[in-house]
Amino acid sequence: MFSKGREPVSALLLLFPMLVLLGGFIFLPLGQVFVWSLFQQEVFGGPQRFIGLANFAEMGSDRVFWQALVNNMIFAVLSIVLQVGMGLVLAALLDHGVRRFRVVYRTIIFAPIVVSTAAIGLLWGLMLDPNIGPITDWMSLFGVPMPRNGILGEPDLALVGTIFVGAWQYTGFMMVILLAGMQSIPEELYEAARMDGCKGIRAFINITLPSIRNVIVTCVLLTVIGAFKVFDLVYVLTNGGPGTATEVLASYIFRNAFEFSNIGYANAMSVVFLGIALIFGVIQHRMIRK
Amino acid sequence: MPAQSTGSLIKGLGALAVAAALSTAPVAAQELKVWELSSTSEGVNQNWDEVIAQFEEEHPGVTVKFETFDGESYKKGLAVALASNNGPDVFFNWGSEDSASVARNGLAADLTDMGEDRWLRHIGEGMLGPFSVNGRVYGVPTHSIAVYMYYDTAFYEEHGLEFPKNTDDMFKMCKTVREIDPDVAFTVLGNKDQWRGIHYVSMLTSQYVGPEAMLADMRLQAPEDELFTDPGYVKALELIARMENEGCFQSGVNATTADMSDVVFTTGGGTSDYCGTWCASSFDSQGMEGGYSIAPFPAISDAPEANQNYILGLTEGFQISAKSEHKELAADFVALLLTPEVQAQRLVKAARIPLNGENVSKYADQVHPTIQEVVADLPNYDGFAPILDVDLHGKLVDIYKRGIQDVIDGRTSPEDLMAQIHDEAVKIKASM
Repeated sequence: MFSKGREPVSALLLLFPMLVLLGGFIFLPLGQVFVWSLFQQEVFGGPQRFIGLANFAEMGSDRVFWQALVNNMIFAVLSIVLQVGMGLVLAALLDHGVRRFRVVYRTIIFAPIVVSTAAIGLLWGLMLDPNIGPITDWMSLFGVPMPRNGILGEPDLALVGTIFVGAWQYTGFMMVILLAGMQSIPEELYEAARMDGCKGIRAFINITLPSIRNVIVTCVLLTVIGAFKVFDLVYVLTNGGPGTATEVLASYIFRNAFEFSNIGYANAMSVVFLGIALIFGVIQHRMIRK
Repeated sequence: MPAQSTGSLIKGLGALAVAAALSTAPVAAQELKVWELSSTSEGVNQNWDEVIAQFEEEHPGVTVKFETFDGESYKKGLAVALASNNGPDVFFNWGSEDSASVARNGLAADLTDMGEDRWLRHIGEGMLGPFSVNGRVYGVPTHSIAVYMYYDTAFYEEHGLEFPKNTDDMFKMCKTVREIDPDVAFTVLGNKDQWRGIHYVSMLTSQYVGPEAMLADMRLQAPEDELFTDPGYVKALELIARMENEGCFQSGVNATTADMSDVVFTTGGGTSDYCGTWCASSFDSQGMEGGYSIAPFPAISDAPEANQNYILGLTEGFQISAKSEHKELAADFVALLLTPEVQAQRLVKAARIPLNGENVSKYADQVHPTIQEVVADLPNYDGFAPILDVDLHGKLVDIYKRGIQDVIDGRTSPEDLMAQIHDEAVKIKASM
């Protein structure tokens, strides 16, 4: 055992490898992002020109930046409704509604989360393709008209379509977390409620929901953070289009850095993005402490 | 084992290792990293294998590490790789803003004094223009590509139709084709990945505005208040919107990838496809087996006074990294691509239109019939129509590409899009 006086030194020694890794892979790049956001630069490794806060000022008048931010918010709200909402319903069904093959259902619903997002994007891109995708044919069988450009080619529907695909992937994950929360509720609570004549949906509203409040908050925060981080699904499924209809912050930052030769601006947006992420981080931290 | 014996053993093993290393390295091995776009064409890949084998044979001790990437990843990753210490020695690039940007930022080697005994033996100095910046040479062109309308020969013959020569006839043809079969479109356009749409608009704009005025705008050399203000820009966008509105394209233009639109063409969902010279072998491998003919894009009917004798195309080639430690070797590799024999083989196997046609006649019977037609047809044009997505600043390209999607969808008017492009061009010019 270490003596009391040597403890800080030993602790520092033990922490040193992790501090080096954190410094090298988190704090150093973070500092670099801050510095580069003050410069104009065409390509990585190319000459830089100091322009102060001009990149931040540009964001104010950049229509696409604001649209991307709004799209992230829509993504977050609809994802909460679909992922957490559907996850809650499915978890409740598996917890109290379904009696047989529960594990089979749970596995099937959870399965999409283990598939890579890029593969899911490609798969749904083909499913929704207006020329060869089967969904157009299935819909026409039921007499449901599909837009000429397909869901992903229609500016008003493309974002919703992308959010739906995201929900298809993550609802199972939310369901498993919520189900774990529901299964930790003591059965005695339901028994007591039943004796008082409270069952079914009333029991769900009055017992289940309040008991898993913290789990729901965690799911909501995970979904919001996921919605603001979303990149791969949008990139593969719609490439931010049609037009800028499905552009999100991460894809717009990527595009500025690697397509528009606008590295300084991409860094400035990353700083703002970091600020948004920090706000959600603080909210999450406070909620958990509560 | 005693400590002394262990030390001696280690020393002995060390000496053996050094001796073994020396005995297996008679000459210093060098590796030349070459980056190129990936291709699904067997001929293209076979041709690269042969070129690399020839180079390695002519340069004992040199190994070529050949790596390929798809176009989008390549465009996005190239500059980052060149700025790092793991980039390629030799890399493919388009002879345009793409290569100029790499050169301007000091990532491409200055090759001005390296060509004398190499590529200048095979091509004229004037051909280096697309890879030159401020009079210095930063790359070497190796071949050209051109874009044509490929059309389904059997469909047109079966219905006694002639492929339209101008846009008036084209719009009539859009209607005729739909009357024959409502599920078939006159042509296909896969614009989900956005580059096919901008190729269409590049061609149409060139016909209305003319390549010289277009290039002056694209290079931001025109006066500020005139940048992208020629009415031809708007007319070109109006024409593509009209094509969509009159059912000339298949369904879901903005939700269909370029590759998928090719499949729609080869499976009979469209009677034509506006595609580059590289497409012939893809169409063959998708089962068309030469069942197509080529034609230039229909002339614009409402711009009769403009010189429309241009074809969409550009010169492609290779650059050498400024960080390469093997610049001489890299220059030798690029020069090899311009030798008459390699140029002829690249035409035969990879359908790359040669810049040095010395040996081409020797292999005339082996060249793909469509490519033969292209080689015979190209001299009839006054030049290449500029391609907007390779000759324009990245930010403007993006506004254009996304704007074209919006124009096709009817969400943005051509006037609004061009106003947006003008404003952004002025801003970029001011910041330069």
